[in-house]
Formats: sequence, structure tokens, C-alpha cells
Amino acid sequence: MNVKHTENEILTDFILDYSDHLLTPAEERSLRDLMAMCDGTRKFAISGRATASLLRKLPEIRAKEGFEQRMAAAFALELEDETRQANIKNCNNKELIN
Amino acid sequence: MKVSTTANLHKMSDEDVMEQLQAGVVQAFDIIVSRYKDRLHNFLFRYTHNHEDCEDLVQETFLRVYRSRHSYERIAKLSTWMYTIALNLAKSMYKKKQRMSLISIHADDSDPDDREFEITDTTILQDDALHIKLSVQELEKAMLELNEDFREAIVLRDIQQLTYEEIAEITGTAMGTVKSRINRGRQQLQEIIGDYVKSETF
Repeated sequence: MNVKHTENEILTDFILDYSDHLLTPAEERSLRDLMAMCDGTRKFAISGRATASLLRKLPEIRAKEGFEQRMAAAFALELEDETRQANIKNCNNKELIN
Repeated sequence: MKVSTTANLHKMSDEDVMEQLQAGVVQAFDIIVSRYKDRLHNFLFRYTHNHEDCEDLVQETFLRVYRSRHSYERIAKLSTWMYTIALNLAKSMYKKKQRMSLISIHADDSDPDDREFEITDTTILQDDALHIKLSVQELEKAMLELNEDFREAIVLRDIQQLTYEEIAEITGTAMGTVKSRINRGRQQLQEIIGDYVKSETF
């Protein structure tokens, strides 16, 4: 038996939920029955679960120390630029009025 | 609209804080930065694999959030909107890096000995290391080999742990497509890293 697992929406959902350990016991039994009959599904489901679990073990990358200060400095420049642009616009408007 | 103090801003939802920023409360920007700096680093690092580039991208994301603050509408979650901005920046940076990795030197037609050649920078896409000892670092590298659509779906789901609905909104694709990309991306990743995944127990 060989199911076209990449094109079957229901099976895609089942495999995703299996990978994320979200299947109910009954659903998992049904999927395991199918896995026993279909090599492609078994391979797809097992690798999906293994890869998902591995990816979730990746170390979390956090902002480096001092990021907020560096960000604040960049934001201050942004505000300065915004003010400068607004002033130029105001000057141009006044010139138009006069 | 009631303008808030910094203490009040801390207690507000992301969307309320954004509304304050739209109303001109610049302190709201600092609150958004402190809430999202780690999440955005964790997300964008998967595209840069370099802390400096990652920090530049995170800073640029925040600045774009500020510049486009008036285009944000409350119908979307602030996080979804921010991830969309970050993803677009990451994609354009990644494309730029890919272009730079392939330096094409044009031939001089008048010179028979001068022929066009290409220098490929292998620091971006490596696959020989996959047969050696695999580790977290190798998994990170393997992710760079994934098709772009698969990688973004996987990073948003497996690393950022967003819902399928959120991923669909961020990537502008149907939920069915998102699910299929996650499944196929995991499969492709497993094919790249091979034995390391097989050794895991279930």
C-alpha cells in the first residue's frame, strides 16, 4: 500500500499532529495502523516527529547585553531625523503661505 | 485617547501599547523593544547565523515598526504584524547574500583566453559537513539548505511556536499550504541530516 501523503490534506493534518504529539490515543492508533501498512507514511510521520522534536531543542538565541541601549541610540537618531524632516516641511509650508 | 505613563504601558497588551505609540507616546517604543527583542533575535538568527547581522536586522525591524506605525490596524495581532516585517527584511537580506555568494566575472569577448567563471562562496550552503559528526550547529546549517518557503514555515512553527493561522497570515499563504510546507520541510530536513535524526528515539 502506498498513500500519496504529500497531497492528502487529512493525512497532512494527522502527520503534523502526530509530530506535535497532539493526536488523541484513538487517532494515534489509526495512524499507526496506516504506518504499518504504508512505508511512505511511516517514513514521513517518523521523520516529521523526529525533526520537529530536534528543532525544538535548538538553543534559544537572545539579544546580546546592551541591545536595548544600542536600540535606544538608533531610535534617538530616528527621532532626530523625523524632527528634521518635519521642520523642513514646516519651513516649506511657511514659504508657500508667504 | 488616554495617554499613559511608562508604568501603565507595562501593564497594557501589545496592541494597546502600539496604539499609544501611534498617539505619539514614544516610551511605548521601548516597551515593544523589551517585549520582542529576544523573540526577534531567535527568529532572525535562523536567517543570518551571525549575531552582528542578526542584531542589525532586529534593529531595522523595530525602526520599520516605528516608521510604519500608522499603517498598523488593530485587526491584526501586533506580533503577527511584526513577524511579517521581520520576515520581509530577512528574505531580502538572504537574497542579497545569495547574490553576493556568486561572483560572476564577465569575459572579455576579444580575448580567447578570457572566459567567464564563477566563484561560489561555500560558507552559505554547505553539505559535506552533514556526513561528519552532526550537532545542533549542523542542524542550523541544514536549515539554510532548505527551500525558502519550507524554512520560513518551519522556523515560525518549530522555533517560534506560532499557530498555523498566524503563520498563514505572516507568510500570506493558505493554511493548507502552510501545513504542507511544514511537513515537507521537516521531511527535507531529515533527508539532509539523515542519520542524526534516525538515531533519535520515539
